[in-house]
Amino acid sequence: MPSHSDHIAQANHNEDFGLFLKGNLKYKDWLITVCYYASLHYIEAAFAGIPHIQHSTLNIPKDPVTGKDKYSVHGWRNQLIKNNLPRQVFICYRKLESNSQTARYLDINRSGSATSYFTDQDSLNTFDKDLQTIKQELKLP
Amino acid sequence: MDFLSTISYNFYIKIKENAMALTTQQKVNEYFGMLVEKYKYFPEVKAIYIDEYLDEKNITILLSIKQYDDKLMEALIQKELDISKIFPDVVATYNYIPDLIDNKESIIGEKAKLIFER
Repeated sequence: MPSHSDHIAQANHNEDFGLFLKGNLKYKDWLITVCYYASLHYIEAAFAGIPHIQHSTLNIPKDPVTGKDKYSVHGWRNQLIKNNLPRQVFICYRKLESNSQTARYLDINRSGSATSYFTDQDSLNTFDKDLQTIKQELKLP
Repeated sequence: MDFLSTISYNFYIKIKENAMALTTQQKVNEYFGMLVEKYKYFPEVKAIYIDEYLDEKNITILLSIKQYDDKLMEALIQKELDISKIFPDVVATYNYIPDLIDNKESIIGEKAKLIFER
């Protein structure tokens, strides 16, 4: 299981790539996506410091009959964020999650594209506003 | 335990199980009713589909927008929190789909039910 520092290292790596993509907004769909993946690792780093969570995949409740997970990892992670992290983290994380999904779906099923749906400023805000808010709220460097 | 007591006990268990199943279904219905109540006031919400995966509720909300609106997205996500305060034990995933996707069936899923449309 990755440690707190593993998640921080991967989040920083993703964020660095986001910084690179900010220099060429032709790839703003990827900027949005990479911000989501950075936020995911910042959040898992925060979970690593909460003893009863440690990692979102570790404690998904099981069905008592089948022994299988009751919820998807995405669903359970959102529940953990909602119940254990600041409200603003949930809002910004859900925006990043939703927008990255939209960016990817629009590339597959397009009658529009991510590059027309999101303005340049929208994509910059995912990095400068949403991702940075998550880091500040989680008190991460 | 004698024969009659055993029958009575089994009958009691059956009634209790049925009552619990009904309660669970009522709770699910109340949850979906609350969804419509919270989201119908957004003029941008065109339709709401619901689906269930494992014990999780999947909610797909079709929007009429063709351009991203950050304030709208924040307001929609705030409703997730509002609903979660009323139903803290319900695990749900929400998807917001702009009016730019041709092949909506690939996102909504075959078993999804429409619970709101305008």
